[in-house]
Amino acid sequence: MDLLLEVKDLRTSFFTYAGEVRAVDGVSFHLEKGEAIGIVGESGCGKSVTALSVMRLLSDTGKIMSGAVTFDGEDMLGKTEEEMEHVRGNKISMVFQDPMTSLNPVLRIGLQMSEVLRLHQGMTRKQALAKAAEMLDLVGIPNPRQRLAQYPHQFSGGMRQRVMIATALSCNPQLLIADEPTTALDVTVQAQILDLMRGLKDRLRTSIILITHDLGVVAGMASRVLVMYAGKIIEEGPVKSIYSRPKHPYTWGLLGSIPRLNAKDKRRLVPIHGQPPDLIEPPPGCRFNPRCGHALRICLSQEPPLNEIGSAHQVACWRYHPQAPPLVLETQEGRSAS
Amino acid sequence: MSAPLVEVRNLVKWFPVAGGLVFTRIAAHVKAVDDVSFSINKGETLGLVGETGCGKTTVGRTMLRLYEPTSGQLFYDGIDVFGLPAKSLLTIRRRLQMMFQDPYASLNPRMTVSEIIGEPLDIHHLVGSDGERKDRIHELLRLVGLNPEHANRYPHEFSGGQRQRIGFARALAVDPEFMVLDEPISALDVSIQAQMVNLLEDLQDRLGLTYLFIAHDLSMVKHISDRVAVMYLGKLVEVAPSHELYDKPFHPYTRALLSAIPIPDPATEEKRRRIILEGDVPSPIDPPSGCRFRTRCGEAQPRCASEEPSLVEVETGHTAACHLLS
Repeated sequence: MDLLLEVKDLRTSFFTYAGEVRAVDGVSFHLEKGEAIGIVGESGCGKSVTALSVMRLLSDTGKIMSGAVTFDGEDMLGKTEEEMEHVRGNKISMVFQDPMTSLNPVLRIGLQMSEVLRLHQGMTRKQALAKAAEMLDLVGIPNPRQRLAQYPHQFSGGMRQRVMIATALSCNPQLLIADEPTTALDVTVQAQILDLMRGLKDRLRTSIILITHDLGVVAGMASRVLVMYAGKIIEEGPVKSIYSRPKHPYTWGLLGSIPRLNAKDKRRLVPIHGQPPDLIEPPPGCRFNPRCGHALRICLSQEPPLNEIGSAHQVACWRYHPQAPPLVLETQEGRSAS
Repeated sequence: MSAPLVEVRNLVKWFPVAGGLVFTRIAAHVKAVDDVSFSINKGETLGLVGETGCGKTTVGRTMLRLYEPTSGQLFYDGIDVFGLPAKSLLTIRRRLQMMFQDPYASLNPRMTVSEIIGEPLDIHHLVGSDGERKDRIHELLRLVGLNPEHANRYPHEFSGGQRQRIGFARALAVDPEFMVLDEPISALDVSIQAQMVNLLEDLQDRLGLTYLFIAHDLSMVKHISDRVAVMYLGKLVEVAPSHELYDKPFHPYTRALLSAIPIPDPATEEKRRRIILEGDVPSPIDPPSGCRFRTRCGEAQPRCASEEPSLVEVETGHTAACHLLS
């Protein structure tokens, strides 16, 4: 087993005027070389903050409180800012959600792309531009040479996201973190970008962490999925068993909230009631208990640990404790509870 | 079958683009909606789907005359809405209402919830006394699943999903018959979307509402709509009963659109064959000649560049605009 990234008990907080927001609260996971994993959850669940903590890109109000991040055998949290600059964009790259704001509007694409290569690879201007053109070609942008002389406003949203991916991959990083890379795009363009990412993953053997709220996007891309809720990982497993046999009532609810395109008859959606909790004062015990239809008394006071229940499938739910009454989740199309 | 409640005929909406350095003149037009016709029956939900910039929101807004149409007609229950003088719009807008996409921008942050929902009641003189007004506001809040005790709060005290409920209550205040729902759920989280969709469906049944549901999320549109209309670059390309559109899409664009949607099921995802469209949507200022989709269509023929296809009935109640079908 070739371990690339290991995150252990990561805790990240933001200090606001209202109090400490525990955005990430004890998250542990690992990633192997060449593997693609998905982190899924709704807004505010801590999925982006987890990625930003790994990259050490938190804003001034954010602070990593405890935990360990080991990347390729090196401790990331102990590195100085200067050492981190050598890692970012070089060994770990990130693609952000909004292709409209991640490029500088007053600089030519070529300059922005070659900056990374000159800084990390020590290339000359000419070499860097040649490499940038090669990368644009790789991500399917026609006339790469001419395109390098253009400004971001001359590119469409999908094209800009291609530029971002090309830039992120130009130093041949070992890990690519894609934070909602297709959320701002139309479905047909999303399909283009996902297709591109799948192709590049196989060709360049880059490990990928795909962060998204769209369960459909993860299904076609990742081999393993982590489901986050209110700053914690509540379920983790191979993509197939998560989708066909989700264990946590939250994962179950999330899948029940999406209408199925291939469903034969019209059925009512099964929403999750209520709102996600306030992370300044999260509910005691299991954080999902106020919205859970299956909560026991223990769920209100004690936090459930992440336990292995099947092959590589882990869930943080008291209902899977040997002494708990058996949990029967109502059947949904194509899914069973067993 | 009785006459449809809403009938749109040859709706056109062009937006002028100003140009010129010293004297501004109209340099071109954005052909946002270009000759669109459809009808909606009473109690029905018509889904209108398409990608960014295809003109779906413009259709909805023009129908309520939030934009003045360039040409075309709209008959609502036999009334020629586009022919009405501006003064009479108040009466028709009691029957036609709209719900907007952005829950953060569509509510005035300086007004309390009761002021927001009470405003249409005052404008249309629907309540006599203050007590009656308060009762009606509380009733509306209960109807959309909000706590009436929160009537004196401001929008910032609510989450996105709750704000959309307030926007819905405001639209319902005048007892409308027909509602344009412009991407009412796309700004919401997945688990909250399902709550909102169930609420929209419940109230449609209870109040006998007719919806035009505008969205880009095809799986949600399929779920909520009886019939679905697909738009591309200002034109309708296919209209069909929703299950039929998904089972038997005729137009190449509809097929590409459907195949692009990721399905939350890894087994299905593995087996699916995707149609990946090349390139981007052309500019609506200077759309391609003939069929507007031909520049991205894998099956385009010489005829598609010269002749514009019109919507033809391919099966009962299922129309598509494509030369390959004739």
